Amino acid sequence: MKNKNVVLGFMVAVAIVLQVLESSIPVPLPIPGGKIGLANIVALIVLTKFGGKEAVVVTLLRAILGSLLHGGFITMIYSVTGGLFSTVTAIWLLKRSKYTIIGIGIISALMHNLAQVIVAIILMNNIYIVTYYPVLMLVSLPCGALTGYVSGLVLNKLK
Amino acid sequence: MALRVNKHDIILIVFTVIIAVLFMILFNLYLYKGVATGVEIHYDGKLLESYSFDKLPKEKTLEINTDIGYNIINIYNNKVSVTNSSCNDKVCNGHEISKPNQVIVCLPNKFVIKLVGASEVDSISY
Repeated sequence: MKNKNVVLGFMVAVAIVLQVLESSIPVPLPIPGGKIGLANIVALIVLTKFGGKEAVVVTLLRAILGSLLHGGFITMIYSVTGGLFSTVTAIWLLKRSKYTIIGIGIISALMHNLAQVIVAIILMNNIYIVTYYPVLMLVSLPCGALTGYVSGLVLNKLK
Repeated sequence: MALRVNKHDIILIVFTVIIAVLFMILFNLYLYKGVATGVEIHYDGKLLESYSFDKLPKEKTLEINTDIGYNIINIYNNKVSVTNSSCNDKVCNGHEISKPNQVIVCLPNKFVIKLVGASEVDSISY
């Protein structure tokens, strides 16, 4: 694609808007820490359309810039590790697994939450934070399926 | 791209639900045992303050201030929740805990609020 960088820059912008929008609007999830992970939609689209390297760069830029705009340094640590973990997992799954984009969205969400829980346990030196994970696993199912499904919808339109 | 789940996705979903529910049951049976007797407030990996419920009135509001920000903690009837905080996402707000070893985590403010309970050893030695 000729204007690849322009499109990727646009993708970063869309992902930042989704991330900030998501943390500004209270999501009616009945659990603590519950977020849909809308920015992951962009990561999955870039991954499928362009490739793994591009997806990692877009995710990193989105996490860093999005946290600067809305959040702060600590938010950035969680955002970057979660984003990287889930994007790298999605790259691997897209290459060598039989999951659909919905399944990949779910596993991405599971890995995103796992990374953040591990970082929280290390940063706050408190193992009890792990008790959040089973709840987050259940939340990952509808949220991950939704991000995967929406990515699929957009990818079908792009063809 | 067909937007329908396949066999592998279904197995993944069922497996995830089973693992999650199993751990929730295990935590409830073995970790959240007994009655909460007090609350510990941790900041940045260190114990900041701790309160025993029997020394507190039935309803109490605590304001915890640190370099990063503030969290308002409400204690009512031995149940603890965060009612307000200085962070942007406020995901910890409103969630209520009442059993020992349950935690409320506030990632941006580096806060962990944990309930403590009387262990069996303590009740024997008293």
